[in-house]
Formats: sequence, C-alpha cells, structure tokens
Amino acid sequence: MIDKRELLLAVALSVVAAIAAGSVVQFGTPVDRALPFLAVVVVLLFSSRTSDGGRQPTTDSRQPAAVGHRLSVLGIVIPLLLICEVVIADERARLLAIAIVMAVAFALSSFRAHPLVVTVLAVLVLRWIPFSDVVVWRELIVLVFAGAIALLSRNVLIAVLAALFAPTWPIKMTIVILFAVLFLCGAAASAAGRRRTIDAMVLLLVIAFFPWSGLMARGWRFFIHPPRQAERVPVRYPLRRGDSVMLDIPEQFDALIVSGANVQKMPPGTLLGTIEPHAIPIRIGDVSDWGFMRRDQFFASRNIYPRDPAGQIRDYGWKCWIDGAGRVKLPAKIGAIRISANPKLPHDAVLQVEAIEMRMP
Amino acid sequence: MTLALSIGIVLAILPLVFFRGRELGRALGIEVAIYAFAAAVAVFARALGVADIDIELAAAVVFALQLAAIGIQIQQAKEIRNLAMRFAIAAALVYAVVIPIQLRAPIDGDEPYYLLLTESMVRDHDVDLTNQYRAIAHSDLGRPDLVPQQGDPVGHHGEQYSRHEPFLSLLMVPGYLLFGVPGAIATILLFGVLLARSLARWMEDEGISDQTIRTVMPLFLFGPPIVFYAARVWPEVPAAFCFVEAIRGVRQRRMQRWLPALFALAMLKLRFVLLGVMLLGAIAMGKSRKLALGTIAVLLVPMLVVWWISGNLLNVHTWRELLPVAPKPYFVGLSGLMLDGAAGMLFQAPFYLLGVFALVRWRAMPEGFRLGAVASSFYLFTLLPRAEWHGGWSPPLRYIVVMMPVLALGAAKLYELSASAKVWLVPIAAWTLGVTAHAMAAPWSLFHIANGENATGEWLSSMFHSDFSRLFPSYIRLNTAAIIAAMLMSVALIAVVILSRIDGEGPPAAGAFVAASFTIATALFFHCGRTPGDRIEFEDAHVMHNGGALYPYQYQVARFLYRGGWILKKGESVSFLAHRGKHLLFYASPEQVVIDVGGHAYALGAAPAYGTTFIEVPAEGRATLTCVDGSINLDRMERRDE
Repeated sequence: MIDKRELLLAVALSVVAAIAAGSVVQFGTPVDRALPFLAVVVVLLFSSRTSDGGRQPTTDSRQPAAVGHRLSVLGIVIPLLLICEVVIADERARLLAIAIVMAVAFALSSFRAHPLVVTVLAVLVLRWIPFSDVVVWRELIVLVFAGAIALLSRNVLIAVLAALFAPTWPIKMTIVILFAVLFLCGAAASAAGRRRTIDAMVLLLVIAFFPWSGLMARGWRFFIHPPRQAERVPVRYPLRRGDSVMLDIPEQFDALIVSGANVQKMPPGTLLGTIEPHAIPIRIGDVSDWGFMRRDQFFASRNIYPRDPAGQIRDYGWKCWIDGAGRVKLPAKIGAIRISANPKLPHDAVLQVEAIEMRMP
Repeated sequence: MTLALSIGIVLAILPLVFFRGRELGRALGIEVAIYAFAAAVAVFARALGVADIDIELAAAVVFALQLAAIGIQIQQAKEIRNLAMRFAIAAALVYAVVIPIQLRAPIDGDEPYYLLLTESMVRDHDVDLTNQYRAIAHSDLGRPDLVPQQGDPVGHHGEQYSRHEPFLSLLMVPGYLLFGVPGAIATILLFGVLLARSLARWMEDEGISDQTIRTVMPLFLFGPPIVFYAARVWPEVPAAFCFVEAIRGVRQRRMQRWLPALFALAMLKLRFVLLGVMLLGAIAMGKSRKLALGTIAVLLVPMLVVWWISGNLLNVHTWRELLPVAPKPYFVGLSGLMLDGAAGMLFQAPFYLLGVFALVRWRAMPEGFRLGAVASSFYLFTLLPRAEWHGGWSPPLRYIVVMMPVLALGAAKLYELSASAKVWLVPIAAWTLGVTAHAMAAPWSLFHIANGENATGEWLSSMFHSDFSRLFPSYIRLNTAAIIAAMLMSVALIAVVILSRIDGEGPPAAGAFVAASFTIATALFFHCGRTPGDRIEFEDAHVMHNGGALYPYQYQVARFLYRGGWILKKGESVSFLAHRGKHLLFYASPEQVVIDVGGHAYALGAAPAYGTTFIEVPAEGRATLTCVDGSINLDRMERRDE
C-alpha cells in the first residue's frame, strides 16, 4: 500500500497537519475538537495507494510524479480545513464546510486509495466522533467487519454503509447483520466495484454530513422530511396516566408540540392521550419518545420518526440525534383545550406537552 | 434567474466543444453530479438549520468548480484535435456569461470614458466630449456621476477631449451600434476569443505539446486576469492579442501578420509603442533597414493621431518618463508586480509566476518566449518606477495583462520541463479557482483602493478586529512582509536554478514540501493575524472607528500618492490591538490637539505637515485612542521599545 519513503513522508505530514490543525481549533463542538484527527485522516487518504492487482490504475499512482501530485493536493485540503475552522463563525455552517472538504477528499481518494484504508478512515470519521463517547471494543468489532467487507467486495460504499447503519447495541445483533452483509458481498464479489463514480458520489454525500452521522444512521427520514420550526411558547407540562391540563390557545397559535417519555417500547398507533373538545388523539407516530433516537436506545425502541416532526437536532457526530417531539395540529380558533393522558399508560410513561406553536407564515 | 439559466446552458455546451463519445458522457455525468451534490447540500443544509450561507458566493463557487472540472477533463482527455479553435469557442461561451456577471457592478475606472468616446463617435461623429458630459444623465452608460478626468486635454475652443487613445472606442463602434453598451463590451470579448486562438496556435508553433496546452490554456482563459479583462472595457486584452500576433509574425517572418498587429497595438495605447520598439530590433536584425524604417513610420502614426487630438505628441505623458531613476522604485515596482497582496501575481494570478520562474531557465525556453520577454523589457523598465505600477483604479495586473501570453508560454514550457512545476500547479490551480469565484461573486471587489490592504486581508481584519493585512506583502505601502517575500522570492529563483539540475528525482518530496509549507503557513497566518502588530495604520479595516473619516476620501484621484489616515474630531475615537509600551505616533493637525490613550492624556502641538510624538500603550491588547480636543489626522503608530 505504501513504500518506506512515502511512509516517512506520510508520518511527517500527519504530525505537521495535526499540530497545525490543533493550533487553530477555537470552538468546542466534538467535530471542531476532532480537527487534528480529521487532518491526519486526510493525510492518510492521500498517502495511501491501491494494491488490488491491476483492477485499478496502480501503475500511474506509483510513479514519483503521481505521488508528488497526490501529496501536493494536501497543500489545498488541509489549509482549507483550517480556514473553515477559523473564518466561519456560524456553528452549523462551519461544520458543514469542514464536512464538505472531508467529503471531497474521500471522494477523490476513493478512486485511487486502497479500499480498506478508505473504509477504515470513513468509519472512524462517521462513528468515532466524539471520541469520549466511543465504546472501543464494540466499535472495533464494527471496524473489523467493515474492513472485511471492503476487502471482500472491494467496494468502499457497501462497507461504509454497512458500518453506518450497524447499531452499537446490541452487539450480537450487529455481528449477525454484518456477517450477513459480508456473506452477501462474498457471493456478489464479482459484481462489486463497477460503478465507482456513483459509489464515489454517494460516499461524497455520506461524508458531507458526517457531523450529523448519528442522525443519518438512526434518523435518515430527517433528510427527507425535516422538522419545521415556527415561533413557540414553552409549556413543559408532564402528564402521567390519567392526568390532564387546561390550556388557553391564543388565536395565532395552531399546533401543540408533544413528546413522550419512557414510551419507546410502544408500537406505532398506541394512544398516549387526547385533546378535547374535538377528541383529537395523540398516538405514537404523531409523537415519539423524546430520546428514542439516542444511540443506546434506538435499536430497542419500537417508535418511529414522527409524521409531522417538531424535534430539534442535538449533539454532533455519532452521538447526534433528534428528539421525538411531534406536532399535533389544532383547529383554528379552538380557544381553551384540555389535554389528558391515557389512563391505561404504564406507570412510568409520561406525555410531555412541550410547547404551543404559532401558525407558519 | 436568466443569468443562472445562461450559465447552465453554457456549462452544458462546453463539454460538447471538447469531447466525444465516452469522454463526453463522463464530462456531462460529472457536471450533473456536481449540480446534484450542490443541490443536496443546499437542501439538507437548510434542513439542518445552516443559516449563514452566501448564496452568490456559493453559486460562483459551483460555476468555478464546473469550469475546473471541465479543465481537468480537457487535460486528461486522450486526444483533442484542433485545440486552438475549440479553446476559442470555449472562451466565447464563457466570456459571454462573464459579461453579465461583471455588469452587476457599474463599469468603473477608465471604462466609462472609453464608452463615452464611442458614444460620441456614434452620435456626433467626433471625439469632443463636451456635449456628452453636459447630457451625461441621458447617456446609456449608467454613470451619471461622470466628469472629465484630471489632466484631460482641452481644445483651443474649449473642446473636452479624453486622455484615452480613440482606437479602442472606434473598434467598439459596430458593437455599440448593434447592441449598445453590451455590444461594445462584446467587442472586447471578440478579442478575448481571438487571443485564445492565437495563443494556442503560438504554443503549437513553439513546440509545446498538446497535453501541456490542454493543461495551461484553461488556467489562462478562465483564470484571472484574462477572464475579467475580456469581459470589461480595457484595451489590455485586444493589446495582448495584437502583441501575440506581432511576435508570431516576427517569428514566422510574415510581415502581413506583424505589421498590422504592431500598428493596432500602438494605436490602442501609446505606451504599447514601447513593446513595438523592442520588437523592431528583431525585425531590423532579420530584415532590411528599409523595412525597419517603414515600421518606425507605422509606430509614429498613433503619436500623430494623439498629437492631432491633444496637441501633444505624447498625450498626457512626457519624454522624461523614459529616463532611468533611482533603483528603489524599480525594486518596489518589480517586487510589487510579482508579490503584492493586492496587485501582484502571487495572490491575484499565481499561474503567471511560473512564467517568471521560466526566465531563470532562459536557454531552455522557446525562442518565442525569449523574443516576447525581450520585447516586454523596455515597457517593463518604464513601468516599474511609476507610482502607479499597480494599475490604479482597475482590476489587478492591468499594466502587465499585455505580457500575460508571453508568461503563459514560459509557464507552459516550464511545466513540460520541470516535475516540480507540475506539483506546484495543483495549489496554483486551486488558488486561481478561488480568485475567479470570488470576483464572480463580487465583481466590485476587482477594484480596490491602493491603500496597502487587499480584499482578503480586509475581510479577515474586519472579522477579527485584528491586523491580518500586515501579513500580506504590500509594496504600495511597504511593509515587513514585503521585504520577507522579496527575499523568499530571490531564494526561490535560485532554488529553481539549482533544482533544474536534479529535477525528476524530487516530486514526492516536492509534493510533501508543498503540503507541509501551505499547512504551516496557514496555521502561522491565523496565529500571527490574531496578535497585535508593531505598526498600526489607522485607516485599516482592523481598527474599530468610533466616528471620524477616511483621509483622503475613497475616490480621490491618484489616492496612492497620499499618506492615508483617519481624521478624528473631538469626542471621536479609534480602537485597535497593540503591544504594551512606547509607540511613535505619526499625525497631522492644523491646531493643538489633545488625545487620550488608555487614560493618559497627551497635548500635541500643531503639525500642518506630518509630525511625530511618543505615546505609551499601558497594556497589551485592545487600546483606545480618543480625540479629547481639536482634530487630528492619524497616519500610523509604530512600536519603539528602545
């Protein structure tokens, strides 16, 4: 994959890149703090080269001129990462810009670098940020399987997607899923690795949103049906089974923002409560458990992404999730309403009335 | 929307100009993929709550990226026949959309004057602009504020002439008659197209390989400064075309090519006669004395035209401008044209620095490059010591646009000869793409007051309220970075000579060097930029101005001849990052003035010309200077610890 001289250059460049990136970090999000790591990932991507026995253009990539070219691209990519960190003050814009630079680096190197290297680095970027939250032995299992899939299928995209959607809990299920993918890849190995441009495009898109990788993996419907946000007045009223509360809804407000607590095991359609006077039901599916999309709760949960989502994105990286708040529409000029929790709910389940929301402009 | 659609159509047609079969499919596929990715990012970014996106800049980046992607594929294509014609068509397509992009900002600098002259020729059939200025509000130019330029010739009967030679205006007459102002600008576009064809042919004539031409031509055509000058009303691009044709004619010994080219070149602008004078030597060496005399006569025609209009053989110039002066202005002008942050090749069009490096490998360069370089030498010699070497109120590199084809030829040859040059081309191309995208998004940023700052420095300075501008070399307002940059450039030129002997061994190391140096430079840049500088220029963007006014005002003619400053009156203040300790304040004041710095009051005597005084900054970090009484023009403040 790499000769001795290039290895030395890669190590030296990695050190330089990590120190330079570390020196410019000025914000506290996990992605900002991981900037030195991202810089090293970029160096490794451009230092690696393929060795797949002639299926890829190895001859050119081993020539000194090609190596020089590859390394000189780092002179653009790493400074771009540094510039994004320093000059973009808006948090989400900054993280998106960093992610786009990383995505372009991955897409460019996916044509030339060894699939194993690209896969391992992609999985690290997608699942190992924030580092403090990584359960190393579980993630190592995912990493090993992803690497094996990449080696067997010679297709980075399949390996990365398998790793992205593999749950951390329960690990036995993860192993079963990844084994199945591995088996399928083994069976279809001859067909894999043909549509490299399309694969690179999909990889580009996946990595371009790595600061929200947890959301991609567990709440992919967010990208199709993102929550809308209008002005809200917080209510924050928890209702246990049989509890009820009266609310006056001003004329310009037309929706109730509701979520559940300890309801993640309930299937869609389960009644959580009702709104009077029109007996409007609040069910799982309209709303979900507030934290059901968290990494350690997601696989065990039976909730689904709310039909009219109203949650907010929380955290970054693999830890990123969106709360399960949903929007329940109210008839116009409804005035006073009574919200009652279903008396048949389990004793620890809570219906959370979070806010009332103004009409969308 | 119409503009976006036109850009989309041009970008869709562009691959058809160069590719066929699978290569065409791939090019179109990549184009669609870039659009799809940009659209996906736009949609998802909105969903993710990313608010802080500059739509115009994002669109310009996508446009530049598409051009870059096509450029890369042109380079990697197996074979493209009839390159010159294809590049000419590509230039026509791209410049056609660059014109409306550029016209989002009003035409500026000398541009409206050339157009006013065209308007006068069309409507009055003369070059007297008196009535044009009188009825300027009804002109098509969109510049109702236009008044005669300082030093414009005035006739015996009060006629108001333009200081600009009328040939370019005359050339624009047909376009103006057909389509008005856009039609006139399309005339320049036409010369851009001719330049594209001519340069590609010239490169072929000089033995540059097809692959190299395919590599460098997109950088030349779609990168600064050509892409901007081809879409604006300046004589530089027509002159560059004529210069290339003249050199080609001389090289091919075809009088019917070089004679009209030389004539047109001299007619476009009197200063271009200096290019012709040097070419004359080559003509005289190869041909009879009779022919050389004929050429001199051709070069004299424009001078006679100018004399007929303005009554002066040299228009607004004097013979004295041709005489050598002290060495310092030559150093400043030469270094500035190469390295200045606002007006030098390094930051505005780095591709052409390869052409400068090609000069040190003189013997290996094609004869056309050497002839072009020699022909440019006298012109350059007279340009360098001028206070306006940077071009004044114009897009960057104005005065050397005419030499860009020569530098491009040198760059192309160096690219062929040197593996290191190939490695350097990657960051050069990326920077070029960035400069192009920025100027597309903000065409008004092409014009910058010559105050020692540049667009990037100003932007970062105002963002961090810290002096980033001082880190860019400035030869307009000489700073430490400029001295360091000049020394590094000298070292680099020597290194090129040495490395030329061992080239071919070093690409991996060169690539690593490029990567490491850019990474370290970026980190150091941001570290140093956020610390106080030793010298505070009070008019700069990093200084927070609480009242006061810029001196001299922004549109002062020949503003670069003044010591810039910031005028404070009683109660107004400025705040800036500074080191703790003693500083020397340079100021001017018509009266006694009292200022306050960090709680210390200083009574300063009147200094109608500039004076100095020591002041103490009590603490490291942000300091505030307040005008307590009187009024003061603050020039600068320099740290003096001794």
